[in-house]
Amino acid sequence: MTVAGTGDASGAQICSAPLFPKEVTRSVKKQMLHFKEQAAATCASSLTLTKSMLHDTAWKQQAMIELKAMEESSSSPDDSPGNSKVVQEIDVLTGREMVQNNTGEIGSICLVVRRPG
Amino acid sequence: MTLAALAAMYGGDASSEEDRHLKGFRIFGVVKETNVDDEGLVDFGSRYFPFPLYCDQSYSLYQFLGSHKAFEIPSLWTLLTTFLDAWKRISSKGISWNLKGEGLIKGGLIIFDRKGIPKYAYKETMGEDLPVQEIVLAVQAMRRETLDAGHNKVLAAQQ
Repeated sequence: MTVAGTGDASGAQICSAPLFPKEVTRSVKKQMLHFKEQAAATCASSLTLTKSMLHDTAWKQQAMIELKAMEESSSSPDDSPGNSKVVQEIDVLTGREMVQNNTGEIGSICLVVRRPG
Repeated sequence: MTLAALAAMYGGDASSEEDRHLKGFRIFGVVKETNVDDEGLVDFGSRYFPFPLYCDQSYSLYQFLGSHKAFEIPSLWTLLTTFLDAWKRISSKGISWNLKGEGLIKGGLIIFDRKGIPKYAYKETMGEDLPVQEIVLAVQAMRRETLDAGHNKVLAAQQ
C-alpha cells in the first residue's frame, strides 16, 4: 500500500498524514517483531536452549547457598600475622530466589563455574 | 575472568553509550562446593569474578546444562592436548590455577530474562574461551525484546 494518488513510496512524495489502516500497520509491526526474534535466534544460535533445558525447572526449587569469600588478617598462635582466606555461608535461597535477587532491568547472566581455583 | 572483563568493558560504566551492551544485566556465579579449595574460591571471587557467588550443592544448574563431563572417555592424547590447551590459554592471561576439587563436570553460562526465565545458555568447551560475540548478540536480542514489549504496552495503552 502506497501513498494515495502517487503510486510512489519515495520519501519526497509521501504525505505526512497517516493513510494506512491500523490493521495494516499492526500486521507489519507484528511481522517485523517476529523478524527481529528470528534474526536474533539465528545470530546467537549456539546459545539457543535445548529441549531438555526448556523443560528443566528443577533448579528453581533447589537450595543455593549465598557465599561470602574474603581475606581476613589473623594472627597465628605464635603471634605471626598473616592472612587467612575464608568462605562464609550467608544465606540459603532457592534457585528462583537467587535469580530474582540478581536480576537487572533486562535480565541476568549466571556463570556456572567448573572449578574456581 | 572473560565475563568480568566483558562486564567492565561493555557494562553500564562503558565510556560510550553504544558500547554498553551489558547494561541492564546483573552478573552472578555458581560453584559446586565449599570447604575444598576455599583459598582458590577467595582468589576467584576477589581477583577474577567480583560478583555474588552461590554454591549449588545439588548440581541442578550443571544438570540444566547437561552435566557434561570434561572427559567422557579420556585417551592419553585427549587428556594431554586438553590440558595443554587450557594451560596455554590460562598462562597467556596470567591467571594462577590449581586442580583441587571436582573439575570433571563442565559448567557454562545461562542468560535469564527479567522474569527469571532462562533464554540462552552456553555449555563450556574445555580449552576454549567464552563466546563473547554470541553473548553480546544474545543480550542485544533480549534488550530489543524488552524494548519492544515496553513499546507494545505503550501502543496498547494509547489504543
